[in-house]
Amino acid sequence: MVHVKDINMFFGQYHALKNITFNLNKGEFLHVVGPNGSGKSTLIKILVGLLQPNSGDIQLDSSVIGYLPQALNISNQVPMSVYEVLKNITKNEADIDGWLHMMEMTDYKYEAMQHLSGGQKQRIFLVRALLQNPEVLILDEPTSALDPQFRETFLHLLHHLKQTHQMTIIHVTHDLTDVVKSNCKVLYIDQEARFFGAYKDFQNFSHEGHHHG
Amino acid sequence: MGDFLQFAFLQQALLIGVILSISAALLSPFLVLNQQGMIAHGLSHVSFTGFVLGLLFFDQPLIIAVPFVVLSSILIQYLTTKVKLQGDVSIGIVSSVAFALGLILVKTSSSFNVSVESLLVGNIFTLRAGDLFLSFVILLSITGFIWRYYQKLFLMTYDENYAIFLKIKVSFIRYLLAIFTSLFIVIGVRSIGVLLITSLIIFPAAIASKMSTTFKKTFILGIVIAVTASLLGILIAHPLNIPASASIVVVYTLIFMFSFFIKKGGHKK
Repeated sequence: MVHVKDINMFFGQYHALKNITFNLNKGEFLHVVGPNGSGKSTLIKILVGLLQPNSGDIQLDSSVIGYLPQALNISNQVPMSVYEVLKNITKNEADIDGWLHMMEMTDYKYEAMQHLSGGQKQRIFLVRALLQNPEVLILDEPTSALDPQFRETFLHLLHHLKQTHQMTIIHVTHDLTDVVKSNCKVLYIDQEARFFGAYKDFQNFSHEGHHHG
Repeated sequence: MGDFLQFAFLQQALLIGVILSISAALLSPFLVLNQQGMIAHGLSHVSFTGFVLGLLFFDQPLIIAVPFVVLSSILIQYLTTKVKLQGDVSIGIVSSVAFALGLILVKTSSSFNVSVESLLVGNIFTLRAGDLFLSFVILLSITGFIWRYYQKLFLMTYDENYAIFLKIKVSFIRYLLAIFTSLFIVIGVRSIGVLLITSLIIFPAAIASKMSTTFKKTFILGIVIAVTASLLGILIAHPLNIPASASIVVVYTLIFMFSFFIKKGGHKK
């Protein structure tokens, strides 16, 4: 489903990503973790096509990707309604209503984005990503700057999506408490991949003191 | 007031004022809400030199001014996207170099006999029918551009990275936006002047976004405000014998201050 091979990325002399390689099957949930500045966001930007790596190969068997960027990168100054944001992506009203219902945001369909809380906005931008009908969903620190209670709800939603829609999910986080389900995979990067495997094995890896994030 | 409006030149000034203000208001949200408003300011300075060059070599200064300003807008976009200069740095470099060139030409050329003040301040009351026609052509072109790219421009305004992710030709649309802005500036500068033409771009979205909760309302309210400000500004300017550009800015400023007392519509959660 997702095949990433020997990705290298340089910013000037700085070797931001070294030989990143991993594979995911359909319906797998990958958490990408690592300290600040480890290259997590760079990797995501490469996967969604916002950056071109200096070398390496990416194959996504599915052509459709859904992308939820970091909330910080979306302007808060532009007046716009939830409906305008979603209608911008699709004309299919049934799709809009369906995903809003699933995210428990139906009542906010015509609300101004500026009136929504950080968590509600993220749900709307998740709906925006889901309107692409993605087979691979890529999320860049979606829960940073959200309160812990909402974080849990949001991750629960993601696992629900994985199960109901067989989505492959790649979720970047700097907070390891986000990694909650044992049937997930973990990619721990700090410029290079330090760990890639099942969550239960990652627990052993981190207990051995390999990571300090 | 009735007699007052019988003056053909005043009717024409009002018509040009409305056409220019709508053109500017159509561009306004996509520039101002995306921190691109200063490109208009830079291009207005460039247009000064465009007109100086045009007046030196041709009877019709637009023959030089239009391509000069359009090419400068392309250069600003190029410096920002390809050379990776910050947007305001690109604008600052291109506009100050061009303006300096214009000042040198004015001072050193013996054949330049047009008042610099008329370029800096503009005069909407002395325009000819050709100017009205050109303003109308610009309005139609900008309307066509916005109509065609509205949804893409909206997405680029609030989340440019997502637009790139969706494979929208962001760079191409940015160039088009800069080109249409430069066309508006170069046509509008004779009425409004180099110094204040930017206000027509800045104020509509700056005010309307304070009073609206949706992008569409911001867009439409911006047009309504722009038409109101230009009509009032021109009607005030004529009897007081002050530049229309200055009185339009005063009206805009009053509306801007008033907007702080207007609560945004829409229901809170």
